[in-house]
Amino acid sequence: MTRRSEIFRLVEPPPGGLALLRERLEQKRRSRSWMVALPAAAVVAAAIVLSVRPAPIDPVRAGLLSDPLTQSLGLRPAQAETALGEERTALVPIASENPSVAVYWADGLSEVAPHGEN
Amino acid sequence: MAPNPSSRDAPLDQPALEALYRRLEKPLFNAVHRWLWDSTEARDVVQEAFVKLWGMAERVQPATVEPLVWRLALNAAAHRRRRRKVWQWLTLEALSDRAAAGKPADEALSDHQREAAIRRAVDELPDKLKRVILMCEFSGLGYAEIARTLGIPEGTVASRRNAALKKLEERLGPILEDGQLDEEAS
Repeated sequence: MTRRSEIFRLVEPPPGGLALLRERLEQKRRSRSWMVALPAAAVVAAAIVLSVRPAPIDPVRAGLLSDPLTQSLGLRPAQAETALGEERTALVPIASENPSVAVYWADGLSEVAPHGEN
Repeated sequence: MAPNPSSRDAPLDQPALEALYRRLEKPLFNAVHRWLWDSTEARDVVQEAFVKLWGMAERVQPATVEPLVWRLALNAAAHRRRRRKVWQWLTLEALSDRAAAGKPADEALSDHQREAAIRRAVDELPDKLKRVILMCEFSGLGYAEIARTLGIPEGTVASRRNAALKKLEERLGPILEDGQLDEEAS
């Protein structure tokens, strides 16, 4: 054996190298698809959150909803007297904390006439 | 025959990468093995080079793939070697190696000791000489391709190769059997 062939003697690599490489490439492909999918999923999630977000609350409606009974039952108060406004609009008085302010729940809001005119 | 432009410009797909791996696994493994002296780790480095190559597959031209994978593998091997040296220094693992290095060269050597002497001689080669001599020995590439791969002039490849062989000769001359290291020159 010459010096050179002893120094640079060929060594066999461990078996199964190609199968291992395929596995590693597959792992890389999977991690890469996650890297692509994550931002896309974040965008979709943000779009869903924005689309189901409730509309800004109307202050009048907020007042109505703050009535405990209305809020808890989602119904008109049983003791409330219903008045018919113009064009058969139902007006339901709702408890107000300020005695100088009268609050009404108007059914068919688009058709209701101002309460002062009744 | 002129190369087919469509195949020359085609991106590196998995079958092409696997074919390249089959062809280069052994030479790359042998070069990297002279850095790390550990089969499992050497294979890991070769695979790491191919995985990195796969990551850049869309940007790589088939004509430059082979030099690129050599560069990736040699850089990874050198990097690991440096990291391991730091670790050995920190954990004092290298003490036994340093003790063995002090033995006289002309002492009758067992196979194991001869192997250790070769390792030490190759390990002691400066990085730039080692890259050249290992590529010359294992890659099957010509000086021009090696020069392109390492980013050095062609003449430097020849001079570094000679310098590396001379250093090995100096260190291993008294230990190994007779015969010129630079067989091509003789």
